[in-house]
Amino acid sequence: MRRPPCRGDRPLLSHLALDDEALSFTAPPEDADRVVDLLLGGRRIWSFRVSATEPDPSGEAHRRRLPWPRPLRPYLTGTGTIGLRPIDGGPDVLTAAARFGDADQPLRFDDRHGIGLVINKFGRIGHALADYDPGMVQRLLDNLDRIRAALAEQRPDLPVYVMSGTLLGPYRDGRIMPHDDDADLGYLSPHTHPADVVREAFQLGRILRAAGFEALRASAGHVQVHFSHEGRPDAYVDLFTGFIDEESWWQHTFAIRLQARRDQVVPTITIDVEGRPEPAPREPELMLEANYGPGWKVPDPSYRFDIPRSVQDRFWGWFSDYGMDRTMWEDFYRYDIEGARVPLGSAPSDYARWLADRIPAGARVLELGAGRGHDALWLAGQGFDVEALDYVRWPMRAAAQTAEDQGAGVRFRVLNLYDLRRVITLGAEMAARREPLVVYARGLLGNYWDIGRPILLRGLSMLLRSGGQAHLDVPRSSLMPQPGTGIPMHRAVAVEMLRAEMAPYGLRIDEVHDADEVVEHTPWETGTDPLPTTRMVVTWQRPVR
Amino acid sequence: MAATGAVKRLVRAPAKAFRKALFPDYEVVLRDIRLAFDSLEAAHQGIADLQVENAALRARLDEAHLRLDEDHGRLDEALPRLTDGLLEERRLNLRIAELTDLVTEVVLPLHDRDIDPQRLQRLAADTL
Repeated sequence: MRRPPCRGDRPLLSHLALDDEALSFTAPPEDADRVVDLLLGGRRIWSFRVSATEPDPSGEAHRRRLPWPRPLRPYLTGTGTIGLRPIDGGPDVLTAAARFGDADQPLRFDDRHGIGLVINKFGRIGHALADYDPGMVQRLLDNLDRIRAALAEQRPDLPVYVMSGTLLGPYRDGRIMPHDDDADLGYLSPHTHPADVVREAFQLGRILRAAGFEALRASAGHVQVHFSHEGRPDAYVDLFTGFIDEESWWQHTFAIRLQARRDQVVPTITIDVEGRPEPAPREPELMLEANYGPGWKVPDPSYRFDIPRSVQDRFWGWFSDYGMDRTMWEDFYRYDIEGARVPLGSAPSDYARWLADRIPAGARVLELGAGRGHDALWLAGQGFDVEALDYVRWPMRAAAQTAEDQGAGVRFRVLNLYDLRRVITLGAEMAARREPLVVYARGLLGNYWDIGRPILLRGLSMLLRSGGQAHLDVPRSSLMPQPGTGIPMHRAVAVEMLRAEMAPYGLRIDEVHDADEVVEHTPWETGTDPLPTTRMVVTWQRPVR
Repeated sequence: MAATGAVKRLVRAPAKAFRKALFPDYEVVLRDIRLAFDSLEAAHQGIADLQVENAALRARLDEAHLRLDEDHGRLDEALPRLTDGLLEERRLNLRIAELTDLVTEVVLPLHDRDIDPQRLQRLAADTL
């Protein structure tokens, strides 16, 4: 890509400076539209547009300032080299020596497997394909082809095609974009009604799981298929749902809504993706413009999605979100190096100790939202019959492995409390045992989005049918009440509101106890500050009809 | 008085002749001036009528504004309810799909041993 005309070869960006809070540099106003890579030791870790920076508080002419992205901050310790490199290939590449804190260790932004991390297009920590081993792209495309083959075997009628980043890069130049982090497939459903489209999507998810894939439902219109390579997580493949409704609106996760005829989408055409033929929508430019705007032809690693409200509302209503903050929680456990160093089961919470003193010896305990599994493992060590679940996958697997190694007898499983079908099935499964159950959920309700609460309460009403109690706590202060920050939500929940919501399900709050508990290794960097909570004891009574 | 009248009658004709010689369009101008005065009077009347009409229209406009403000208020009040209703309506599609899936994938397979095929076969062709 050429630099803007009439700028000559005069360096434009200059005077890079770093401190603990931000980086700053000088850029004339003509540079506002330039996109710049942020480099750590010469490796791209983020991209931003100059216009997205703020004027430097010094007031110096053309001086710009950019606070370090919040997810990056915990990693800013040690020494290294920070650089800025305009993606237009301009000569004004800047570098500066960096020192954060007193440590002399090399400045690193890597995962525990040594694979470089980036700040992705959602402002969160992620991976870029360029930072994996050289075989990553071909491996990813092999996986993508395996998924297509599995779908074609069971649904030969279903048109499946590459889309989003896997269409954008290859349609421009035949190459997967190095800053992309996954591969994207979509399909066009034959159905026109959202309920039918969703039922079919569930069926497709099951087809993938039956074929041996680790398929994870992100929404009713989006399945992620995860892979591992040499014992570590590999790049994943998204499968997005599309349909054309009776008014000819083409609706497609993620995230398209425009009027189109079916013959503009299918039959698919073939495009070259890194040397292999892959199916693409019949009019790729229609999809690319809907996804990336009219500027899609020009590479822009700093691009961020701006999805119209009309699209957000529809997809939220029809497809919901089965993950909510799951990616953030998985990332938190994945990248919280300090928390991972604490031996599992060795750090029970005050709440778990409090609970152990109050419930019958050897009681059956089901922990919801078990996180790393510290409390579940510790409770099992106290002689309780413990089962624990959470929607974060790596911690559940690690905890299950620890339980097996320790002979602890705790059963850990991945279960998503936003998934009505799984929660009802769990309720039926537990109720069928016809034994009293202690349900324990520490720190769940403060992180649990409103949309899931009816599902959780229905589940509780089933779990407690044979007697027992639910022990739940809620925060009395909010640490992260706003969504969209890249940090999991944490907010106060009013006990009286819960009391009113529980009543229709036959749930009753019998006791409340205020507590102040220190919880270390949280996404909110609370350190040793105590968190004020209210602990509730809930029972089920048959509702009066 | 009679003498004055006589003098006037005496000079009227010469004066008229003199005026006609000096200002031949006098009569026409005089008529136009009268017409102009009539027009002015009519215009004044028109303005007065328009002012009355304007006042009436202003009153109607104020009333319409008032009604519009009330409608806006009602709309502002109704919009969140309509938006919530629309969202709920969209979510019902998902709920139907989830529950149908649950019934077909979990409930029916679990209970198929309790199903009496003969009883099902006795059902009418159409649901009633």
